Amino acid sequence: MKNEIEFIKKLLNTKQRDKAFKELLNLYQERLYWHIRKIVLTHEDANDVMQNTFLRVYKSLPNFKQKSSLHTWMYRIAYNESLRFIEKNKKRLNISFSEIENTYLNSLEGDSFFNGDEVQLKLQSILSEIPEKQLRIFQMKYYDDLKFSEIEEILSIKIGTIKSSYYKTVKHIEKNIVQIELLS
Amino acid sequence: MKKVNKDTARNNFNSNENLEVKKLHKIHTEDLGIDVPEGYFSISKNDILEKTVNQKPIGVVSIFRKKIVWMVAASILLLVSISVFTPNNFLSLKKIPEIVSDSVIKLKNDKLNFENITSIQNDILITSLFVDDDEVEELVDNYIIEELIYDEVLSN
Repeated sequence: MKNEIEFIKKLLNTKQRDKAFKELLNLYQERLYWHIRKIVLTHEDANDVMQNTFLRVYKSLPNFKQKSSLHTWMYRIAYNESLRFIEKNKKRLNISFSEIENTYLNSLEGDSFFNGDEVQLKLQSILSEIPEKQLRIFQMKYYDDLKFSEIEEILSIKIGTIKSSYYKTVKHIEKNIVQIELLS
Repeated sequence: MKKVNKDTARNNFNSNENLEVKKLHKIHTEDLGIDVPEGYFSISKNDILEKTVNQKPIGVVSIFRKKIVWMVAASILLLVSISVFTPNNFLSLKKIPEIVSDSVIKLKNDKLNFENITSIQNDILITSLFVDDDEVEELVDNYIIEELIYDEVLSN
C-alpha cells in the first residue's frame, strides 16, 4: 500500500472495492478491536461491536467524503459503534455510565480472557473513576497511540481541551499509584 | 470536522501504516493484561468477509413487472365495479346470480333509500366475490349490446 490517496481511490472504485476492503480489514481489524475492547471491556461485546463497525464501514464506503483521513474515519466509526452499544445497555439496565463501568470492571475480573495481574486491575479501577470523556482521551493517546490531532477529529473536541484532559488523567493516575505503593 | 490536506493525509497514513500491530498487541496483552482467544482474528475476519464482500446479492423484482401486476389488478377491479354498480344493469338482472340480484332488487324496492345503500353496497361487494369471471364478462357484453348500442341506434 503506497499511500492513503491511492488506497481510497481503490475503496471508492466499485470494481476494486472488495479487494481493497480485505486489505483494510487486515490493516485495521486488530487495532480497532483493541480500541473497542477498552470501551466495552469484555471480549464477547468487543467482538459484536467490531463486526458491526466493519459492516458499517463497508456500507458507508461509497459515502466517504475524505473530509478526514481514512485512519480517523475508521476509529470514529468504531468509537461511535462502541458508544451505541454502551447506550443500548444503559437503557436496558437503566443505570448510569459509572455504574456500567463498575459492572464491567467486575465482569472483567471474571472474564476468562483477562490475564491482568492485580496492578493492571488497579489501573483499570483508577481509570474507571475518571469521567467518561477523560477516560476515552487517555485510552486513545496512551494505549491506541493516536496523535492529539487524530483524537481531535475522532471526538470533535478542541485539541487544547484534549491535551489538558490527558495530562489531568496522568496526574490522577500518578497520585493514586503513589497512594497504593505507600499503603502496600 | 477539519479538512485535512492531501500531503498531511498521506504522511499520517504512512506513519499509521508503520505503526506495528505487534506493538499494539504487546501493549494490550502484556501491559494492559487483556487477551483474545487463539486464532480469533482470522475467524473474525472470515465472519466479516462473509457478511460483506462474500455476501451474494439479493434477487431484485423488476419494478416494471410489479407495475403490470398492479395494472391488471386495477383493471379487473374497475371491470367488476362497472358491471355491478352501473344502474343500467338493473335490466340485466337475469344474468346476475341470485344472491347479488336480491341485493339489487332490495335496493330498487327501497326506492334508493340512501340510508340503506351503504349496507347494501357492502353486501354486493361481498357477494360479487362469488360471481364467476365468465358471468362478469357476459354481463359486460350484454351491457354494451343492450345499453350502449341500442341507445346509439335509437338516438339515430
